[in-house]
Amino acid sequence: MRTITVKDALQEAIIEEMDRDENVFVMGEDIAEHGGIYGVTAGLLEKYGKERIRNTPISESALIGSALGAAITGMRPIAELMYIDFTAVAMDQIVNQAAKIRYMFGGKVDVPLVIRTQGGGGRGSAAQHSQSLEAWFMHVPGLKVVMPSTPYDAKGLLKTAIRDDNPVMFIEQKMAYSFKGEVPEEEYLIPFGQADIKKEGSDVTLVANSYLLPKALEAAKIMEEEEGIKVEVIDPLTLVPFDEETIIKSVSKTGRLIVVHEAVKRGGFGAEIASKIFESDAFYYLDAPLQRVAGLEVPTPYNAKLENFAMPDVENIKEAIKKTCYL
Amino acid sequence: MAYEVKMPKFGETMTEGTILNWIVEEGDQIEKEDPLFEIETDKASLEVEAEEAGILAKILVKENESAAIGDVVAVIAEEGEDISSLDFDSESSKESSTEVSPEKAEKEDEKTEKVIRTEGEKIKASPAAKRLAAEKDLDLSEISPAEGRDAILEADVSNYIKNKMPQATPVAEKKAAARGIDISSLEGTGAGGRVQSSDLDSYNAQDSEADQEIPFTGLRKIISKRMTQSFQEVPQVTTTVKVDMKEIKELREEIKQISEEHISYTDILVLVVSRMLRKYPMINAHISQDSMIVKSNINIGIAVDVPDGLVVPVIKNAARKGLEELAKERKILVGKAREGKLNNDDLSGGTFTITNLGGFETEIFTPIINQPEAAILGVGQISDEVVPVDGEVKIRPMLWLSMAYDHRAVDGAPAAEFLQKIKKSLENPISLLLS
Repeated sequence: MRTITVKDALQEAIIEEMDRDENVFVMGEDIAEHGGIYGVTAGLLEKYGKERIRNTPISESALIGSALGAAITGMRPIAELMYIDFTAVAMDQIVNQAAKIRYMFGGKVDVPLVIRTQGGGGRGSAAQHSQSLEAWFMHVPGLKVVMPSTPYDAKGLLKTAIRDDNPVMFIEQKMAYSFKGEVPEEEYLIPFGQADIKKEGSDVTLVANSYLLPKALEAAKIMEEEEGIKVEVIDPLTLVPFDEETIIKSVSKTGRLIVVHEAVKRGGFGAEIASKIFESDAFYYLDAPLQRVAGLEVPTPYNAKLENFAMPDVENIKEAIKKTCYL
Repeated sequence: MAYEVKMPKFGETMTEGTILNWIVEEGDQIEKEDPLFEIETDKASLEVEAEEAGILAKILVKENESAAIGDVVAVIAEEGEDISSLDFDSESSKESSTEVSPEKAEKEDEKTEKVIRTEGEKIKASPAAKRLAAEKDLDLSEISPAEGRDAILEADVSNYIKNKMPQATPVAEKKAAARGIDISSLEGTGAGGRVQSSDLDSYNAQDSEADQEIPFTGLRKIISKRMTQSFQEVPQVTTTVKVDMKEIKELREEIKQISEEHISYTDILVLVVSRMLRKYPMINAHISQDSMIVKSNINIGIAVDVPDGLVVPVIKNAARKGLEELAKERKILVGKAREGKLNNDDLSGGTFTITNLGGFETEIFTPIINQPEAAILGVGQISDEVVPVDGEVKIRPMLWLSMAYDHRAVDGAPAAEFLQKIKKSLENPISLLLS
């Protein structure tokens, strides 16, 4: 099977959906001639023209507000929001408008809006361009939250997001655009709310996604080789809706849970997953305190060494695996 | 490499075990998991299985003898291994075991050392450990975390279950697995609540709906092996005669007047058969594929049915013993058989076997030869029949005798003649006085 990057996989998803449905279009800051800040929409202006590949002014609130208006009047916009940090500017449009409209109109209006955005560190983008803010959106009923890691998942999930009649926060990671992986030529979709067991194991359940999934898999491989610990690595793929069943089943088997995320630990999705486990029958199978491997509770430093220190890495994940196995 | 069979530890309070009986004999070929011996602990009797295959080279602790936990009770050698170099001296093996045991005991102590908790202190245990302990109805305060940890984990509870509360004997485990029964659902009657083989048997009795598979172990295994071998190897023929027992019946009544010993028909048959075997030495023989050994002693085996099978204790030199002595010996042997106390001596050396099914109203049957003997006599019930005697219709106590013989060594005519002579002797007992 051919190997492509996350960036190419995302573009393929956009092209396939734009070809399939003339109501699908892209709008955002510098997405036309410039092709988007990480190049996902490069070349699309030539292919589809200005009507469907639209540059917007530097006003995130106007961008999301007009995309939302298009969505409720029959279009299927993909709004690219350059940095997830900038959602703060558009928060009223996302939280009070996009997330609420369908509910407040008694289901008479569909909101087929996709907000593609990217977050995370690793590139020296400093404190206002490196945050991982998925938990903000998880907290708001009415929004779906998707965080892919591999090219295969990125493509299948974006296509599903575009076809969804509800607003979807599609959160990419800036360092993950270059991740490579196998993607079939044939069309496929990946359903929301279905976690993917990336590696099976019997001793520890490790939940990881996005940029940290490959690091989790690397740590799992090392620990299996060095200590014989069989780690089950699960990518939830979508945080809302969330596949509780797969993780509960896994923890009931292993009795040990680690959640890895780039966002700061305090109030991160790790806390939510841990709570779901405590609320479930899997509680009775826990044989060790759970471990959260997460970003330090500091603004992301600009200095590369400090930035690296603030982000979880393979060593941190290995330590957590050992700790949960009492090693 | 030779492998030492040690006295196992079943349950916490056990310090020594008594060997009830050896299921195997020295020189026997042993498969892994074959039952070796039955031991009696302070609480129960259990079967001990072989951990390795081989030849049972030497039994060091005899039946009814006791041994401390960990003492070597037997040695299993590899096939063809020269075991003469092995030191079976019980003194030295005892010495070495006492050398090891203090250390062992210390280790044991370490393991069982309990965490000291102040009163009212909560026990630190994982949810998984608590769940398992609750499922097994265990008190967490009895369980200690492994070294280096202060919280009880699921593994500590399962180790406790495995070490401190052995769930089932190996035989019981095998039986349960074969029948798909969950051991933990059974109430164990063995030491420390251990499920033993008999618990599974009684479980099956309750659950009459379920099919049962009962593996052959111990005596049943021996019977199975010996019967199959005899039936497959020996061309055996059964010949029958009908005997008028009027004279014997009258004689027995007369004996009752003069002897305090209760004489049974079997005793009389032992007497008659043993006398007759003297005249037919070819029938008092041990037979193999290529030759036969005519035995000088006449030792009559008597088949006795016991709760778990069939045993054949032997009356030695029967031809030289009178009725009272034969009866006395028979009673002792049958008593020992019923109590499971027969020793190897009681069971070996037979040259001819008598088996009596008369008590079950059987008249004629085809017994299987007890190898390597040449013949076996099956005795039916004595029942009144209408028979012509000297042209008149009479009612007589009649008995069928069925004798199976090994046709490799004994032909039809001499076998029938032997049986005919027995018939004549029984019908005319005075003739016994003549020879």
